[in-house]
Amino acid sequence: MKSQVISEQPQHQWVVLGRDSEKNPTVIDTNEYAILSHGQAMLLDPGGIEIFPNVLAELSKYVSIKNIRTLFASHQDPDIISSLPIWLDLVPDVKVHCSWLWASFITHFASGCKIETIPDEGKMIRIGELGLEVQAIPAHFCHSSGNFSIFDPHTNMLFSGDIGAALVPGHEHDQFVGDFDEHIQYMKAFHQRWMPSTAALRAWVARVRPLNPTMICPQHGSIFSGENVGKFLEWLENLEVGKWESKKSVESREGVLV
Amino acid sequence: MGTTSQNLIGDLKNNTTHNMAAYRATISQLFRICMEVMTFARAMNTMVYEMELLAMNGVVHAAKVSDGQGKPLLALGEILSDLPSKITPEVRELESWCAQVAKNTAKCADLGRHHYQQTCCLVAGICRYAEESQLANCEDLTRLNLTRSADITTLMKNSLFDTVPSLPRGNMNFLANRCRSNSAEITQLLKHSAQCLGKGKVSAENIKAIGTTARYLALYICIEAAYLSDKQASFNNLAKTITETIDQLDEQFKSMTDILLEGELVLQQLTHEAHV
Repeated sequence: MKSQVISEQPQHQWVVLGRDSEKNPTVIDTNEYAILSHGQAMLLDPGGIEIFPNVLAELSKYVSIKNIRTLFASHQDPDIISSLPIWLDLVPDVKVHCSWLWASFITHFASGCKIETIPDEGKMIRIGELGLEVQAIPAHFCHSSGNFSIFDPHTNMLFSGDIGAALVPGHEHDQFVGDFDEHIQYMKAFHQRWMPSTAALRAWVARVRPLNPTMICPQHGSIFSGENVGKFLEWLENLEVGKWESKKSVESREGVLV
Repeated sequence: MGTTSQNLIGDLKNNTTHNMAAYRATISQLFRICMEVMTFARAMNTMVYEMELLAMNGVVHAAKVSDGQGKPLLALGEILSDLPSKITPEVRELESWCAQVAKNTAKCADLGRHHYQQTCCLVAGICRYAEESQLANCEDLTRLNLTRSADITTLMKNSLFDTVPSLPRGNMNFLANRCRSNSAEITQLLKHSAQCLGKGKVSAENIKAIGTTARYLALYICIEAAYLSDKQASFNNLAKTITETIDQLDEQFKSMTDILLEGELVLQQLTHEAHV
């Protein structure tokens, strides 16, 4: 697993961890993010149980385990938060933030945890007790029905969860998007199948654009920075998602056309 | 990561994975044993109910025997009626001890999973942060079984940690302590499970003793029935049915004792061979 600091300010850093070449190949590759603020850390989508050893081993060079104070789950999926019981084993008093919609579902991973629910409208979340605050931005029905992004007003970094996700080939693929048009091939199918609502995606774009994010950091694939941020938002705004037709139905329709 | 560290991580990971797979399989075996004992206990409950009905039947028949000839049979029937109420709490005890062992094994399986992920993290950390030159001299580490608390201590005392930067070193020490504490908790749970199985065996022995009493009572019913001028056949049938029920109870007891013994062996394997 690789890691790099992607945003650095005094006492406030963003670190991405990903491109895990040691993981089982049947496990989808994920990006985990850590915001290190005033000596304490918040993990954004800390990941599945299978990749936990590599995430923690890599994270160990940035922060003391005891200072991991906040966990955020953008939604309820296992690749997002199934490592929760092991994190709780190490830091039992860590605060876990997720949508109110999924609180009683996520506790199936670890029933003993105290979950701080996020209302539909979002909320400010402090990183530990000493760190700065970040904002949970609603992203409902952009993949999951109770879904949030995280915006950091101090750096203008945006963690987008599965929005902007891409299934990139191999572990050597660049952590940042280079040629945006080239990158579309890795994310188009993902969005078309895993995003249920075009309206919700457009509403999210309208919510996020005024924030002027410097980077958009998805949970799979590569990070959008510089001009690729605008290109991505524009692409997403024009994308139609949530459509599915059975092969039979396509054949029958095409037959009618012929 | 160089070839040496890749080999080390590979060997340590394989060893850990292998040992943990063995631990999980043995834990699952223990869980199955608990479930089987509980199934037997439930079957015993049914037999106890049957015994109760037979005893009541005996009492009713004995009361109908004229000229005071039924008095000894009535007394035997009443003693017999009393036995199910003695078996029921023992069966309940047995069930509750087995349920406790099943609960402990579930917790052990959970802790084992945490232990596995955390030891994998330790191994991944060593290969990230220890110097390649140090790793080259650590072939003996590949023989470690990180499911054992003592081997984690051996690993953490190795000189290769001297070159690990202080922040990851602190984290790895923290993890190692957590692993040792999980390991200690598993050992405690296994010890407690052994005590519970021991108590379960006592309950099972008590049930067998009550069954033996019921068998003697059935025999006495036959003897007493021989003195009756009429209704001999119905009492003989009653005694026969009681004996058959006790035979079934004994069969169940034997199978259950075998399983309880197997459970003890599995627990010994888990505790003494120190999988974790």
